[in-house]
Formats: sequence, structure tokens, C-alpha cells
Amino acid sequence: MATIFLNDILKQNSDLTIAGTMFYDIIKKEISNGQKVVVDMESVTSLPSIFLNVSFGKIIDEFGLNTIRQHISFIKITKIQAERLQKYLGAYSA
Amino acid sequence: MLSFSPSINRQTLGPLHLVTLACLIHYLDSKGYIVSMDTSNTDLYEYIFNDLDFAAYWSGGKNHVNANSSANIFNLWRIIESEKDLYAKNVEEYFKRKYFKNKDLSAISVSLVEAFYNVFDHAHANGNAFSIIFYNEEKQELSYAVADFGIGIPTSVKRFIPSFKQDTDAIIWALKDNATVKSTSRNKGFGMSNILSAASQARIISNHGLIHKTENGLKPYHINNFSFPGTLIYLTVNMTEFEDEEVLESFNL
Repeated sequence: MATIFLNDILKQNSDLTIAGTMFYDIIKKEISNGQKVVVDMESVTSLPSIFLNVSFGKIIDEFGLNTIRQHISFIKITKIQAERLQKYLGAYSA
Repeated sequence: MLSFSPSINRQTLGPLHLVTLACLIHYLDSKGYIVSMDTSNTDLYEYIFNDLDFAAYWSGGKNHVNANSSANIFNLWRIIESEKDLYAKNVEEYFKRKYFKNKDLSAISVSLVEAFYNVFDHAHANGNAFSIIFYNEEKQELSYAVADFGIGIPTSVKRFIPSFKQDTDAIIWALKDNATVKSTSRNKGFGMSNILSAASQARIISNHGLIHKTENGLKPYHINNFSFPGTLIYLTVNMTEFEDEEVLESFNL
């Protein structure tokens, strides 16, 4: 199991598309190896669609929504972020 | 020379007027005109020239300066590619620090980021785009405007779906989830609805279309005799509706 500190990725890359792509690469590698991923959301403020489209969206395109549900969980996430993620995944898969 | 009627004063000028004025000044400046302001409306001259320091953005070459005396205004911000993410962070931090310490303001941050990326992904505004934010402490109401003098939402949408005849129909289509003109691979059609998600009221003016969002839904207005040369988005947000920030120790999708 791998823990990813999302805020570290966001701090390294001011452009959300680049940050999202880096996040996607890490998740994809772990999923491809059959590993589970825990995303630590501490200090992450917002999750715009530009970031989500190139990370979670792309994972859904390639592996499907169920794979995300089986492999990815979150810690230290705000209630609003959790609701937003669920809404996004539902709308993306619709 | 920009002249203002004596009936216009600082109370009648809101964010939507100021960002449009900034775009107009930028447009004239880019065409080689030297823009000046008539001083006969003393109140407005004092407000725009001294308090909001508009001259700093052109003769001073700045992208953002603080308002000199209006503490409730997060002043004009020129939307440039390298600072499109920084702006939303600064706004969120500013309002958290100043007014809403424990509130979850992420919806505002998301709305601004989406609006700024929209400018770069769709507007083709050539650097002519601005934002400004007001906070009315008494009403606990945040209002912000983002304007660009680009091609406008209807023009962008009609390039992708030529069958749209009315500009209002094209704007309403762009507001739906999954509605995308596929301008970049990072766009999947969630941006516009995210921009409006925090708003209690919103107006989107683009080309000949005006869409007014209220609690009753979207109301379209076709503007016959005027075409906004780009897109103007104006939102008001009721800050009493924002929840306190709550952190979950763990969460499964």
C-alpha cells in the first residue's frame, strides 16, 4: 500500500494540469502493480475539474470507476472535498 | 478620455462594471491609445485613480495592486497564464484570514480557478482579462466578476456545434455538465457548472446572450442591440451558507 501526499505534488507544480498528470502517473503505477493507494489530503484546499479530469478522469477512462473505488481511499479529507469527489465521479461516469 | 456622468458614483459601480472598464482600457491601450480619465466626477476619479489605483496596471505595468483604502475589496487582478492558480489561493487565504477563519471556502476557490482556466482554454483573449472581488460585510455577501475581451462563449460553442442559432442557447448548453467543446484534453465540460456552483445569483453576458441564474433556475435574455465582446461572469455568494470546515479522518469512495 502506498500513501501519496497530494499537497506535495500540488506544491511542486503550480499548473494544475501538470500536477494532475503527475498524480495520475503515480496512481496508475500503483494500480498496475495491484497496490492500494491512500491519498493524504492534508492542506489541500480545492479540487478543480482541470486537476480531476487529468487524474481521476483519466484513470476512469482506462481502468473504470470500480477500479478507483477498489484501489483508492483518502485520509484527512474535508467533508466538502469528499462530497465533491463523489459528485465528480458520478457525473464523469454518467 | 474616459468621462463619467455625475450620476455615477462609487456606490453604483460594482465588480462587473470595473472589470469591463479594465478590459476596455486594456483594449484601447493595446491599440496605442493613451487612456486618461476626466476629473470632473471627483468621487469617481478619487475611487478609480487613487483608491483602486487603475493606472498602476497600465502605466505601472502591474498585474495586481491592493486597494489603497477600500479594505473590503480584493482589487483588480490581471489574469495571466503563470498566475492563474495563484489568484484563487490568494483570494481564499485573504478571506479566511480576514473574515471567515473556520469556514470551508473551497467552493469559491474552485469557482475562480475554473473561471481563470476557461479564459485560457476557450476565450482567446490575448491577455485582456480581469477579475475583482467585493465583500459586503453587512449583508455577508461576496460578489466577484471575471471579464475577458475574447471570442465569447457562443462563438466558441458555435464553432463546435454550428446548429446553435441563439447565443443564449449556446451559453445554457455550455453550463451543463459534460458539455465540452473539447478545446484541450483537460476539459471535460465541468468548468462552467463549477464556476456557478457557489453562487446564489449569477449573470453571464457573452456576445448577444445574457443568462441570469437565480434560485428558480436559469433565465435567458437575448440582447438585440449590443454584443459583449467576450465573456463577463458576475456572481454573488451568500457567505452565511458556507459550512465550517470538517475534516474526515478517512474516506472510501
